[in-house]
Amino acid sequence: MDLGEKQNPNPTVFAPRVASRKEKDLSLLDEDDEIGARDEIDAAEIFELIRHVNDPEHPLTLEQLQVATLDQIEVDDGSSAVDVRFTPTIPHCSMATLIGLCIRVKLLRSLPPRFKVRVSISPGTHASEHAVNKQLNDKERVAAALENAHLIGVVNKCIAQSDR
Amino acid sequence: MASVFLGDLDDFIAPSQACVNPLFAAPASDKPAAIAGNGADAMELVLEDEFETLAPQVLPPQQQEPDLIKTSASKTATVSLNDCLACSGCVTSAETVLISQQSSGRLLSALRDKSFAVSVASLSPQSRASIADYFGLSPAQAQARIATFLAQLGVTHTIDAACAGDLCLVAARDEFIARARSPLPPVWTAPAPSVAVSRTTQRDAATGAESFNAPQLRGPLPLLVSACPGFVCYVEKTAPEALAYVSAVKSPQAAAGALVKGAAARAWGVAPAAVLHLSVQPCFDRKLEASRLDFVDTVAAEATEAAEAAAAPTADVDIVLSTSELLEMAAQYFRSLAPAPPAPELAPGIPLPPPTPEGAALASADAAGGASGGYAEHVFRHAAKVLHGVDIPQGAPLQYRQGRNVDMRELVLEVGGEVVMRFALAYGFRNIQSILTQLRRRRCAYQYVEVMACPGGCVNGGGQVRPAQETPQAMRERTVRVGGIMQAVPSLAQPDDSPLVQWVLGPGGAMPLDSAASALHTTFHAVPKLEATNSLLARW
Amino acid sequence: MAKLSLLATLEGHEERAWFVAWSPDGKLLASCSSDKTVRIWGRKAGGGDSQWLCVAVIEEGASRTVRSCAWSPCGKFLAVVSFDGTTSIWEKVAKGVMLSFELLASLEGHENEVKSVAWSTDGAHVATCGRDKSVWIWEAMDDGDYECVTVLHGHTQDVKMVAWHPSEPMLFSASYDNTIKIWAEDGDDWYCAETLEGHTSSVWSIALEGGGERLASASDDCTVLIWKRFEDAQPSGGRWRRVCKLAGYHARTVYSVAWHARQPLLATGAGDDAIRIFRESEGSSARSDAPSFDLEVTVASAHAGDVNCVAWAVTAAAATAAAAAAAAPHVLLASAGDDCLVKVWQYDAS
Repeated sequence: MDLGEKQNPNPTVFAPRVASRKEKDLSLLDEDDEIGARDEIDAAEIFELIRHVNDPEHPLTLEQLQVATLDQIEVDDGSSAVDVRFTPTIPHCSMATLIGLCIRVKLLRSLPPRFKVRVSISPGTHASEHAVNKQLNDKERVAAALENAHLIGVVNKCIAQSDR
Repeated sequence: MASVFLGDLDDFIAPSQACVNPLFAAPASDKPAAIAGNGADAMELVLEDEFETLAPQVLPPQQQEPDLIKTSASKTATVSLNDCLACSGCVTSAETVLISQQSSGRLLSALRDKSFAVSVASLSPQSRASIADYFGLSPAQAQARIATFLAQLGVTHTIDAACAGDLCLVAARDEFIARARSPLPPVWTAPAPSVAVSRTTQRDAATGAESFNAPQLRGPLPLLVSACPGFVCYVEKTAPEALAYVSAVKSPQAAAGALVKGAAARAWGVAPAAVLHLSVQPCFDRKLEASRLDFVDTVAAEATEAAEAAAAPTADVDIVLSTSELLEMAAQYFRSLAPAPPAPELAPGIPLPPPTPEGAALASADAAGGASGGYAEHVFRHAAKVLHGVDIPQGAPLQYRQGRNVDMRELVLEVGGEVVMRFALAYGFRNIQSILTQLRRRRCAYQYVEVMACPGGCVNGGGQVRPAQETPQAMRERTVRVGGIMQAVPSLAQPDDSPLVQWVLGPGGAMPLDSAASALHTTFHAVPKLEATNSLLARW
Repeated sequence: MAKLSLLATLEGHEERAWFVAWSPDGKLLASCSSDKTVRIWGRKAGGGDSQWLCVAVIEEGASRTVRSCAWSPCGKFLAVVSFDGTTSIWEKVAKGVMLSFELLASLEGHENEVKSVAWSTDGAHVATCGRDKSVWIWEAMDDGDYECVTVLHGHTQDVKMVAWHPSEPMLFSASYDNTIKIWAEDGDDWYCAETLEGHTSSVWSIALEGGGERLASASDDCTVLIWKRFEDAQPSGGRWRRVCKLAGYHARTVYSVAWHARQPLLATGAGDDAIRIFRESEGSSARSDAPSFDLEVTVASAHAGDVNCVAWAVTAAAATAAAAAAAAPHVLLASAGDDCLVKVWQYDAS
């Protein structure tokens, strides 16, 4: 049953382990990019995009909570495939779909459209892993969610500060 | 063997999604609740102000306790049925909640603890017919066996809920006559969302202002029968624009509650809170109905020392069991070949209708007109006479015309070749949709609609004993059989003939019908839309 | 070598194109998009199949994504469903070379996103399905209005698509719960006659073969399954059984499958951006208990993004299969993609 109280009132907070990249690497969609030029993307750049996304419940970033880490990201630039896994702080976290949605929206808005992004829960870290993954990777459900003003408001807040 | 599994809950208006009700966090001083908890485990819904301090924080590079997290002791919250009622998340309720909060276990422990001076079971005619069908008994035999079984458990009296249904018919026909004489213009506007606080008080969901929980007697035509809790839930949550059309008359279960905890308790000289009222019903949504705060007194009238017990909040109906749940408790007893011991005395001091030779009570409510209370049938006959001077002899059956399907039937009164009255019986979700669409477009040709959520009506309720094979064929046959059993019960010609009706509604009666706040009327509410909390949004 | 060549790229939608539907006479193509519009495309005079014009746009009506649409069998009406929960019926009105569409009826009842709509072959019924796990059947009334015939609950998750049997009163629905359900008439109501289990993830699309004896289903499990109706019922009472699995072809979710009305051709659109054409193998047919299909064509980057829908054009002129085969060596296929584009393709058999 879904609880309105915080799922994990006392999460463990971790210090950043990866140094932030320089400013220029962040702007993957710079206007002065040559038309047709293909930006090569690697896992570090993906991590840079999502590390400062806020957790929906806490004023903490996904990086601080180690929900997102560099080693949970795989990129195959050749086939334009991005695979992001994340680890909810507790196995019953009902926020998992919302966190996943924030990651998905952030990447959707930042990456060139050629990329096929898969966002999923790190295997074995959530009780409803399969159901959450299915929902996160159903583009129709995601599209409908993004038309929900309340929801997109929350997502926008979570990713508002992520371009640091 | 009828056993209730969670998956069995089939009240035909299926919840469309998993429960999204954000349960209630530690009481803080945030916005007050839109949802009031139920009785002892009352708890308020606290809406978190999400992201109030989203400013970037510089965090020291060691583990730390984030300070935003509230650490006040939070009670573990449970969802009550009333929370389901107040939540627009899904149409009816979370199944687990329905089963766990009103269970045979609760009944048994209440009877064992003897926490009530008197215990009364009101048995719906549909449940009786379903059990009669299952064991091949006559309705009277079934009534007697059920009464005996419940008496062995400690239930003091078992009454026929159809007797209370007669009270509803009288209230329903009066309501229709009044409305037909001066209907308000058709509307399709939802009233302001509100929640019940108690029988007498409601709270505006937006402003928090409390006001009298007044039954709405005036309104446009058609009048929609509100006896079906599934339909009521659907309208309150999904189509509040139709609330203006909904009848203010209580359901037979609620009327039985008013009788048992009101007039009967007074006659017996006990406080309402000292009476345990068990209701046996063909449908699970009756559990939901029973927990409506509109049926609960939260403030005792005159709290004297002697009436300490009476000061406790008391609901009209304490426990609702479905037919199948009762069967599960009693199957072994019913199967035994031992002759039924004589049934206990009905309800001393209460002038229930004279029993039939076999012991079942006589009532008019369950006989004719679709076995869902007989609303359209009775109101049609009455209105034909009162409004149009057409006296339809009691022996003459009404001509039901089938509409676009078996669950859509019409009653038409023609005077001088002209249609002067058009009633409908609209059963099942599909026909509810048709009626709502007609209302939405102001194109409804009916003056009165007997609406029931279940195809086939209440005899086919989700809580009835199920056929071994649930094929459409078997379900249909069951509906016909159980309906036939109900029709076969000898009945009073008129609810007015019931001594109970005379006792209750007659001059100087126990529940006069002339006031808006009469014991036979209630209020419906537009359920406030769920606030968008994080937890709700997690279910996108 | 069979080939699929691009004839035209139809630009106009501003967001993801979800769905395309050919009018029954094959003259018009309707496309739906997240930009909340339906665009109607027609051939430019003298341009053959390669020059297309947007002849109408249905802009008002939907307040959210327009997910799908369906032409009535007579071609006069278009049913449009949206994430805003509505189904609207539009009537086609000719205005010179341009067309306009007038709102005839609005079907309300779904609690939230409506995802698919299908018109029965006799034009009497419209089926819709959606996020609320339900399937609705509506009946056209004499006055142009629609009434709800039934609301079918049974799926445990979103219902992605509905499709009617081409000649019998039988409705198929595909769901996020990995199953396909078959709904049949019983007196004046409908019930679930069969549930087809076999896919291991969401079923996105279903397509009946012209004769109605076989069904193709496309899924998030990257496969297409072929189901066949058998004379004898299984112990469970079911008559449809899986007879073929097309696996190993699609690298990502298969979003759409289309069965050509008269030729042994299956087209698929998938999340790997590709359109594929499968042809039933020599000697295999609807009578085979283990039919097989050969991949004939792969257009690898058919769209710059997921291919959400593929639809074969039906040419009304060729009334029989034989005539169609003789008269039309090539056939048209339309597709819709995440790249906002609608494309028209020509298929040529080897």
